[in-house]
Amino acid sequence: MRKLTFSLVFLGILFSKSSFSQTLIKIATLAPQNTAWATHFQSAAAEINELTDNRVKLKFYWGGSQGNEKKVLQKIKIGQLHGGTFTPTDFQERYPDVNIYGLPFLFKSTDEVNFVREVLDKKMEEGFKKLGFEIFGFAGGGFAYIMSNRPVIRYSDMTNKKIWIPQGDLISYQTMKALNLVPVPLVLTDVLTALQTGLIDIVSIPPVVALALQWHTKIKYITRVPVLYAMGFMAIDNKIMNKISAEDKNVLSKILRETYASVDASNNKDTTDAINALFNVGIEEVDAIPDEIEDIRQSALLVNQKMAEEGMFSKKLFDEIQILIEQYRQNQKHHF
Amino acid sequence: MLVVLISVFPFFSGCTVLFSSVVSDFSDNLMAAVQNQHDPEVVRDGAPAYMLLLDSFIEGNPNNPVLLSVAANIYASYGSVFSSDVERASRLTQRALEYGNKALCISYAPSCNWQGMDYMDYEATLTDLNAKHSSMIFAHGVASLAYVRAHSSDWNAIAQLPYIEALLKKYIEIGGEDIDTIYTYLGILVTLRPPALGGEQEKGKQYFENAIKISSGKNLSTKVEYARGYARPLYDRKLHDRLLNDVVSANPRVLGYTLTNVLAQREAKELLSSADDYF
Repeated sequence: MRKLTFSLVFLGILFSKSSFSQTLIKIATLAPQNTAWATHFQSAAAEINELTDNRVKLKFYWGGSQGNEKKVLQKIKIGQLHGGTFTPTDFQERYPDVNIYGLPFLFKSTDEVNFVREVLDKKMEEGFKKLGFEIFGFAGGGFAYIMSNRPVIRYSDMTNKKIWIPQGDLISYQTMKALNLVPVPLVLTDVLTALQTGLIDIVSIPPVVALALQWHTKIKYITRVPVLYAMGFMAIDNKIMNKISAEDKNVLSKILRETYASVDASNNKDTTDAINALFNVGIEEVDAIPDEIEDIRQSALLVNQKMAEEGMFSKKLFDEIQILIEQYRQNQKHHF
Repeated sequence: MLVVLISVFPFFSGCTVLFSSVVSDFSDNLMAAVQNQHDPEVVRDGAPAYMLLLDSFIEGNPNNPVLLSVAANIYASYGSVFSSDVERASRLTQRALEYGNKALCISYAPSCNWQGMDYMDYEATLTDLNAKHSSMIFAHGVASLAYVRAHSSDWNAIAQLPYIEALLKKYIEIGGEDIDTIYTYLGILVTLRPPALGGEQEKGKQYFENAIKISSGKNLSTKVEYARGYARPLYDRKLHDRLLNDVVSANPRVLGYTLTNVLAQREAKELLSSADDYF
């Protein structure tokens, strides 16, 4: 009996030891280490490490060094990595609904986005739980605007022009085709050369990304029509989250949520600053004809509805967004 | 990036043409003393007096491009390397940029219109630059890099990176003197982004190796930047540690490079100590 008691105590020590051992959470990101984004997350990681007494450590693999997001998701599946930073397109197959915020020509302004996100962000997050991921809020990346070598003022300025879309972005592809435009899917790294060689004529990208990737050296005009809303998030596999204590999990979630909220909040200013920087290097702003844009918006709406009906994303959620947007627009009308 | 900016100090000697032989000797000797100083804090504490002196020369000769270039170089390197205060670094590099812009504008009129010019038009204006503009191009390039570094959260500064890169390439094309430093700067610029975001690590590697070859390995800061810009993004730990251990174990006291090398060794040690966390 004494022997058994001793064994149990010893086992208890072993267990208690293992519960205090360090959990290393490996996270892959496309962001380079020398960016403001990386600084935010390194500070968050240091804080988590400190507040959990070194029990939880976040290790980042920077600059896309673990391969593209598809590869990162595969590595998470086999446990080589535990998390990553993603955009909705990366979850197109597993969780198509998360792409809804980024539907082409859905929103007209950041205020509309904020109004909808206030209601639906939580619901979007729930979907990740079902997939076995924990996420910590979304960080807006601003609207993608039209940037081109020739002014884009009306619809006909885009017809017969080659328009870049991100490779694998099925939603943008469908929309372009339905609008009788010519989409050219390319990976991000090929776009600069493609602009230079004339393989593409028009890109649609948030201004901060255009500057970071130096695309401003190959474009001359910006048309500030909000084409689509970009955003990102961090997803961590619940298998690793379940290895840490509830208390440590709370610390991690709280700090990562605060970090994402802070990045999200700074987005508007970043976008405005980046647009001004584009103007300061000679990029010219051209105004699209409002009626023509409204026509494009209406056509895009029909495409979006069709995609919802075909099951590319939840029709119920799409309808909910439409109601919220309409509600916001009506409120604005009454307000003024 | 920090350390490599210090290697512009040799360009101080450029101002000897402006002064009497007594001042000239003083200037040359002072610069040799700076380059060969093995205690960076002595330079940190002493250089501002010389910067003030340069300002006073400029007060008397406001349109002298050589003098303006010299001032641009020292303000840029001091602002980047020795000013730990963000606001101060911002002020000093702003002044460096103003001096650098003016120096080049006086000697090459098309550059006076660069502000607000789109990139394709800007590229076209580089065509007529030639060897006689090299020290002004160098000063403008260094001042611009230092400015961007001190204003890295400003999108206007970030937008300038490809412009600076094109200018530095032009410097090499026209056969400027300080090629190894410029190759190192180019290496830094093309590796700022990782390959997945369009960074050109292999091109960067070529630039760094050219710089090492040209300086015969005397300038240790190039290896530090090589480790940071190439080995880190590609997660090549072996190369990273080899380059940095080379730097740490080298004798820093090399004529004309001592100050740079002592600072490079400090950075190499910091990178080595954070390597386990990074890789």
